[in-house]
Amino acid sequence: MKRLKPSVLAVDDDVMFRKVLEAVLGRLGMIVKTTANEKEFMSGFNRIRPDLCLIDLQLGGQSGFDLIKKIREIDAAVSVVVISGSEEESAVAHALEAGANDFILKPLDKTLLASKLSRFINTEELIEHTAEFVSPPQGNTEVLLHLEATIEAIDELGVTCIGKSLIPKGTVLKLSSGIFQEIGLEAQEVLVSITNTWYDAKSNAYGAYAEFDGVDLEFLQRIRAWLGQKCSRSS
Amino acid sequence: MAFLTDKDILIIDDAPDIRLLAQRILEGDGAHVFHADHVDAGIDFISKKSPHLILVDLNMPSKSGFDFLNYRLSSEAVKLIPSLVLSGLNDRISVSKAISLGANDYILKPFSAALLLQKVRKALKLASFQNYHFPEGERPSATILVKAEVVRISETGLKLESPIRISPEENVEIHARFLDEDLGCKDVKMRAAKVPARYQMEGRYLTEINFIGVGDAFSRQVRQTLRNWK
Repeated sequence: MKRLKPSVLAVDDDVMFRKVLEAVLGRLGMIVKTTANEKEFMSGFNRIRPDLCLIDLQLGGQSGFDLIKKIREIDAAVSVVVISGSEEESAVAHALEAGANDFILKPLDKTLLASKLSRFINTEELIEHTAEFVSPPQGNTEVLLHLEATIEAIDELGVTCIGKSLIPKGTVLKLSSGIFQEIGLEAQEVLVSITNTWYDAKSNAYGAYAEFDGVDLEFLQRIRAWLGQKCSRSS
Repeated sequence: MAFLTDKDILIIDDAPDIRLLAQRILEGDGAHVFHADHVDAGIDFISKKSPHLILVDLNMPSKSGFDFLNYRLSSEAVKLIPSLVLSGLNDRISVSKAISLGANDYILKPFSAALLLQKVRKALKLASFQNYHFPEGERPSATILVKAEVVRISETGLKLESPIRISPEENVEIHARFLDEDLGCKDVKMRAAKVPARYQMEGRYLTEINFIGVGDAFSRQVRQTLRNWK
């Protein structure tokens, strides 16, 4: 049985860029339709329901972001990749917040484009042109991973945090927060060990109890003093 | 105030210095401490005098702390006695296994007096622990920092091995000298891929991370570095 080619719908007000996109993506095994403005795009989107949307952010004013939001109102799952000439950090952040899955800077590099698109759709041609993954050499592999979290509660043994990812029991990590300095602890970072985790369906997030690891008396005293103040004020 | 007055605590550990250290700390808080240097001696003691709490070392020759925990699971009476396991600093996997076998809590060696007392008091529910809940809207933000490993890398992203099951499309930051400087990733936004993280072995997950908002200049730098690595 012949596999259907994935479909891509793109919007960009630059006619030359649209032609290049049609040629490149066509050769990468996709069915491509390009549009010049938001109205044409939405009409195409509702008709075709493509596998992937390619959106130029610089469609004039805010319309690139608005378009992403409009797409998401109709389809939460379709892959949306932004292409933009703007290197501004806020543009990337806004695009992701609006619902984009990825963001590529112009000018487009064929290997980069193929590698990026292969994360969302599948064609043999994409696989051929995708950048290779390489193993870093020994000594160049350890990294520090930073994840966002919110602190819900503090007691003298530890902290209750909420975050988007599951941290298994027994994981040792450092927790960094301005609240520790407010408590009067010397460092902004404390070593903790996760002793309990749970899923909160209401907020679609994971809770974790992070117990202070390596507690000393001074640390305990400062936390107790802070808790004493906070708890008496709120009672 | 001595929180542990009149509490009988049994410690099962083959190391006499650990037993003596724990004894000094716990007796300082009013407890009566009893020793056993192997699991069977501990079980024998429990059959004659039921302690209020048991401390058991996981790593012992012949019968281990796990053997004790298995025995504990088989006895309705002993199951009710709070039991804490003692374990070496780098043995987190054993700790997880112990908790799943019913241990109430764990203490990593070397332990401080403060920590041992905290854990024992907590297990015996003898001290009231003040707890402050931040009202919604006033919850402080925090950053979780954990060591991880890059196993593969390309110009569009990397594959990360870590103890955390990073959720799809979660924003992350990953730092190391070779990433920030050699590959020019210092200010690059990173995000976990839509594909869920895969469980590997021994509590590790493999997550695909995408570089977001990159262009050909970045690609060229990465390609060059990766070529040099080869």
